[in-house]
Amino acid sequence: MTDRNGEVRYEVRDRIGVITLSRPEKRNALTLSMFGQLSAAVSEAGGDRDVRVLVVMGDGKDAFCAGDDLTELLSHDALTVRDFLIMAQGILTRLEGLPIPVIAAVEGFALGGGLELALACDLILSSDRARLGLPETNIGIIPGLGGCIRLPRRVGLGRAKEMIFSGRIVEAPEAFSMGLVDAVFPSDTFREDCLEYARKLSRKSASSLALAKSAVLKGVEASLEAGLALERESFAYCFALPDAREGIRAFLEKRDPKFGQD
Amino acid sequence: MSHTTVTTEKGTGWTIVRLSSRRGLNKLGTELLEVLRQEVLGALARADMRCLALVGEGGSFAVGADLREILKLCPDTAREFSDLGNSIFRALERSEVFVVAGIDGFCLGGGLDLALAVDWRLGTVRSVFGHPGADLGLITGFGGTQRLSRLIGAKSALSWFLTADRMSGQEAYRCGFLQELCPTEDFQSRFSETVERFASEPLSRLVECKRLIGMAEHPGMRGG
Repeated sequence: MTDRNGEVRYEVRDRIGVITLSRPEKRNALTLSMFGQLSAAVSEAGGDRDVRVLVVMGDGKDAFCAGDDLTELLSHDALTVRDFLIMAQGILTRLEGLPIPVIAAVEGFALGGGLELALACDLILSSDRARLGLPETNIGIIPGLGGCIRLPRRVGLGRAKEMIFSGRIVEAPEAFSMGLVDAVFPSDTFREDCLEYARKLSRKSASSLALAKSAVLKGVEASLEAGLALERESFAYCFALPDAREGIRAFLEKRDPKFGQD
Repeated sequence: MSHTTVTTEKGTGWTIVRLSSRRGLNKLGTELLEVLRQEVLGALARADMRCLALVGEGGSFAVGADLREILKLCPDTAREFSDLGNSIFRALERSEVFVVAGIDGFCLGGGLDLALAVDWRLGTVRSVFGHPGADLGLITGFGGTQRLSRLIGAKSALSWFLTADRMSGQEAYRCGFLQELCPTEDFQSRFSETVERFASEPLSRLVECKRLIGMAEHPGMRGG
């Protein structure tokens, strides 16, 4: 029995939380224990006011995450597939709902549950060697961790259907052109480029980011009228918080803003 | 004192509303929005109207309000400011007229929100799009978070707001924000052609499409 702790690492540096999936010999495929560790990391990041951005990445150049380790998951006698899906979907929904930007840094493969994990993040950055797909239909199942729901919200219904029905793997340039990934960086400097991207976001107004995130994600589930009302209240709330004054003054004084120096 | 002015030009079946500034960018402050509201509501009420076109001159479509004005807002006045913009943008969106935006230059913040409320966006390659709220400690107040997510998908829209990055015309076209992209030097002719084209289409057909797409706007249909 190997020690399973440490297959999901969580560390914080310069206000950036980094979750690393580390089971490189299995392309970081997720086990039940890893979901438990992921859940703990999400809670820790969510409870730490100093963490301004969260990055999820895979250990090594081979894979972000090649999916769920189905053999391992189904070997747990007491666990039905439904129990597993409820538990795992809940963790991804909590990750998505964190009030900070969540970035998936995809190097190598992001397949099945691995891509579904990335889709629960706000932004997907990929290396020029990334390969992404939802191949579940090739083995007689369907994406069960939100892929059928979140992929259309990112790339549109038509392209999502095409990817899910065909089960085909998309390479970085195409993934970028269809809007599946938000930016592509060279493989050689990928990790550092992603961290620099995260640092850039960490210097922005945390309250703006949190309000914009909830206005977009909650608003899109509501009617346009309800969404506009939510946005209006969020806009008004900005003027009860310190960042708006600092941000606008900094702009007028032609200097960089200093947000959240409390 | 607002430096941005609104002028209106009328032709057969169309009205063009032009924003221009004596100096600097076209800014959507309270004073200007009040004038724009009059002009837009007047144009929409014209009996023979088929196409209403909005265009910015002098290197910008529009940007948000002057930040000196924004700095004076408190939650209550911010809500009123948001209502003023929303009343115009909602009228454009719900009207039974085909609405076009001609974008050559900066289209940022409130100007981006205005462009989002129209039916057809023509932009030049040199144009610049984005929402700088995250660098200013703000979010948009004229519907941008709602309409951009419905237009290009929630997560793609979120990346615009989280990064506050400025997008090129080419990028705006790639993600589906612009329906028509043209070289900068062709802008005037393309804009006139676009207005003429929609002003000569049978309005009933365009309006029926607009109405049906509006009806399809329920939460289950928001792919992007």
